[in-house]
Amino acid sequence: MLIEVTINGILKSFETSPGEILLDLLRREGYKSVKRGCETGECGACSIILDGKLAKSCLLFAPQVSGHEIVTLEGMESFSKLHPIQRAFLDEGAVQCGFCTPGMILAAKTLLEGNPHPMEEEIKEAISGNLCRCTGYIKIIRAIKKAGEILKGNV
Amino acid sequence: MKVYSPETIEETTKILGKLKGNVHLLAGGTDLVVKVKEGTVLPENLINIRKLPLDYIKEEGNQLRIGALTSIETIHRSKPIRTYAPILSDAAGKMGSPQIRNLATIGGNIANASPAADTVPPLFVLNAQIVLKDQKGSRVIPIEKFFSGPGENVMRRDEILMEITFRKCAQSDEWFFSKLGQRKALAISKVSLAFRGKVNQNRLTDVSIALGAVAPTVIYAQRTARFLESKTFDSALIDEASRIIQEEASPISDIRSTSEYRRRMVGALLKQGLWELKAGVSPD
Ligand SMILES: Cc1cc2nc3c(=O)[nH]c(=O)nc-3n(C[C@H](O)[C@H](O)[C@H](O)COP(=O)(O)OP(=O)(O)OC[C@H]3O[C@@H](n4cnc5c(N)ncnc54)[C@H](O)[C@@H]3O)c2cc1C
Ligand code: FES
Ligand code: FES
Repeated sequence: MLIEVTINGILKSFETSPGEILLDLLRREGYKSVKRGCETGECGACSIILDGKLAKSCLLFAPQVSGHEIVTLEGMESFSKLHPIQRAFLDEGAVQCGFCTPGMILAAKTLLEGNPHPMEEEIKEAISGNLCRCTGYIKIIRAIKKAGEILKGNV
Repeated sequence: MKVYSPETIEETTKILGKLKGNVHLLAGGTDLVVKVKEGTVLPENLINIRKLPLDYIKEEGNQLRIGALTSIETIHRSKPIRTYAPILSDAAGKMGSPQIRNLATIGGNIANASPAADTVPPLFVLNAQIVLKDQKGSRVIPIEKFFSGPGENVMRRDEILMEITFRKCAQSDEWFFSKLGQRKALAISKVSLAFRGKVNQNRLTDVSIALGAVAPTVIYAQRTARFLESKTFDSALIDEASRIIQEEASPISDIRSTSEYRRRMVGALLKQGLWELKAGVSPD
C-alpha cells in the first residue's frame, strides 16, 4: 500500500505494508537520526514530532501517519547551520555516545516552542520519556536551559 | 493483516458487524502495537479508529462527557477536567511519558482492561458510565461492571467504546490519587489508589475508594470506605482503615512486585493520603 506523509516539510510517498512499524520505514528511507532502541516505547530514542507533538515511532504502524506531518532531527539543521538547540548541546557537552541525542533534541524542541522559559522541573518532565544510557542528564538539562535563552535572544 | 480506516461511526460499526475472523480496533496503539510486536495479538483485521470524531471533552449541565479518542495528554491539561474532575487530570499526568500521553487515548486505557490502568481508579470514584455502540444502538454500563478480568471486558466484538460520562465533582470534594511505580516516569503501577470524599466537622462522608493492580480488575474498597465514615477523622481511624484496606486487596505476585509488598503498600498509600488530607483541611 502507498502512503503520503509530509516529512520535514516535504511531501513524500512510500510503499509500505499494514503491519510495518514507522520506525522501520523511517530508517529504511534514510532518516537515520531516528534510533532503534528498546522498540517497546520505553527509551525515546525513536522519538519524532508528529503533528506538532512528541511521539515514539516504534509504537506506530506506518499507515497510521498517512496524511500527517512528521519532523525528525534531519529537519532541524540546514546545511552548515546548526539549530540553536543543537548548538547548545554541543557547547554544554551534552552529548556522549549520542544515541539519545536526536530524541532529546526533539523533546527539547517541543518543550521550548510552547514554553521558552522552562523551569528545571518542566525540563525533567519534558525529557522523562527519553533515557540516556550514558546518564548525562545534568548536561542535557543545562543545554536545554541554554537553548531556551538562545532562542529568546538573551545570549 | 487487513487495515480499515473508517471516518464515521456508522462506517465503523458496519465494518465491525460484517467482519468475520478476529478484529482489533486501533486507537493510540500504545498497548496494541506492543502486543502485536510481542506476538500475543495477531490481528487479521485492524480498524484504525483515530479519524472518528470522538476526540472531545464536553460540559453538559452537571455532566462531563469525554470522547473515547481524547488523548491522555489532553485530559491531563483540560481546564474543565482540572476544575470538575481534578483526580482524573492528576492520574493522566502520572501516566507513561509525554510521548506516550500524546498517543494514548482514554478509551484505549479503559478497553485494554489492565488492572493497573491509571485512569480507571479515578473513573471508579467518579462513578463514570461507559457508552458502547454497535450497528443497532447504544448501551451504557457503569464502569465497575465493565471489566470481567485482567485484559477482559464486557464489550461484544461488534461494539465500539464511544464515550465516558460522569457528574462534575463539587468544589468541596476532597480527593487524592496515589500511584506507586518503579520510578516517576514510564512506570506501570504496582499499586494505585483513588480516594474521594468530603470532610464535615471532623467526619468523613461520601467516601469512595478504588484500588488498581491489587486484584484481577480495579476494585472498590467498600468496607474501608464505610469504616472511614463511621467515626471521627483522627489517627486511630486512619490506622484502622489502613489495616482494613489491606484485607480488601487480593494482589498477586508478578514481575513488578510481590503480593505481600503490594498489600502493605495499599495500606501505606491510604495512610499517607489521609494524613495529607487531614493536614490540608482547616479545622471547623
Ligand atoms: C512505555 C509505555 C508506558 C505506559 N505507561 C502507562 C501508565 O503509566 N499507565 C497506564 O495506565 N498505562 C500505561 N501504558 C499503557 C497504555 O499507554 C495505555 O493503556 C493507553 O491509554 C492505551 O491507549 P491507546 O489509545 O494507545 O490504546 P490502543 O493500544 O490503541 O488500544 C488498546 C486496546 O483497546 C482497544 N480499544 C481502543 N480504543 C477503543 C475503542 N474506542 N473502542 C473499543 N476498543 C478500543 C483496542 O482494540 C486494544 O485492544 C504505557 C504503555 C507504554 C508503551
Ligand atoms: S525505540 Fe521507541 S521508545 Fe525505545
Ligand atoms: S549520550 Fe549516550 S545515550 Fe545519551
